[in-house]
Amino acid sequence: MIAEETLIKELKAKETQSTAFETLVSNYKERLYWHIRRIVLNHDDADDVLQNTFIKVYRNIDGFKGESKLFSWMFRIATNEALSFLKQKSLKLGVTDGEYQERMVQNLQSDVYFEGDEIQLKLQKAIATLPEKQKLIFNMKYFEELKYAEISEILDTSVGGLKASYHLAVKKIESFLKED
Amino acid sequence: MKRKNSDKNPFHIPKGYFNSFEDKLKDRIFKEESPIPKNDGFSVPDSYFEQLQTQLMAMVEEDKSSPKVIPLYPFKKFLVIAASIAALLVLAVGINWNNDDTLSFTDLANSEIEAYFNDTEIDLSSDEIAEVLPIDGYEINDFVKPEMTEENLLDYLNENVENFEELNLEDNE
Repeated sequence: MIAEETLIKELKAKETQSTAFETLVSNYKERLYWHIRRIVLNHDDADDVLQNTFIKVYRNIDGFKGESKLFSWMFRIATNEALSFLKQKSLKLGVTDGEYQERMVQNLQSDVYFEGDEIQLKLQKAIATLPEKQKLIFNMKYFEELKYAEISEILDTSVGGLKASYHLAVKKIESFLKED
Repeated sequence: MKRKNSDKNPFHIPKGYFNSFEDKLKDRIFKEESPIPKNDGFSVPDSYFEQLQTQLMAMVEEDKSSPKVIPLYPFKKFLVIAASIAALLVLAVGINWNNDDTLSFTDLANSEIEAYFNDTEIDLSSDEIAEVLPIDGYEINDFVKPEMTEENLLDYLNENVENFEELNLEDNE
């Protein structure tokens, strides 16, 4: 993998932009996809949001000041895109974010791209009961295996706060899974 | 020739490896013992990621090439600018000729304001709302609708009153 600084320079220069963008997509598409998918749950929606994320990154790369890592910056864009996608959808349907999330979880049962068993479906139901930030933190830590320092940069939250939220989320999910 | 200590070991480790090792180990042990499944069951269509790469590159190429339009008659641009300025001048003079009124917040219909708040997601924090709302004229029940069922009330009394029986609730029904 080429160094991040070189990649950023190449992304900003007109002559090397296309090739650098291809590298960027190739390096991050899967990680960003799974991050988005766990927020929006459905494959088609995740695909839309992921494409919008990359196009936003491409159009705004000149404005990237390098204050955070490129990786964190992209994750932040992906998170915001996914959350505003959910908000727009629930506004259109005239339901609350929570109600929309519940519907999405119900739809998983008939989703061809969800191969989860009963416990995995129950896990999604449990995650849906968490507040938005805890949901993000749990997925980023448990499934995406990001480090606290990385999550802290993406969500702009202290590492201490993240640890507390993560443990709280785990406790809630475990007790939800133990319920009959 | 004597070598420096650091040169003795040709192996290197990533920066901060030992600091994060403990956390990684803890996470792994926790996952082994947790009832939470290790996999969440989501899948993607076959060769989705390969197609995505091609699709995105095509979108970027299109994005690059789309905005440039070269006008056939460049002088028309100046004509349009001149006409726009003239039209603006005529409008400005026309509007101010007999009209001293300026639009203000009070000219907005209440329904328009309500529609704006309904249709737009403003994301006001509770502090911001609190700043705008007057203190007088509101009761707590305007915001919170307590739903106290008889069953809840009885449960509460049962748990918190020492001699529940002495309340003689049956007699007063």
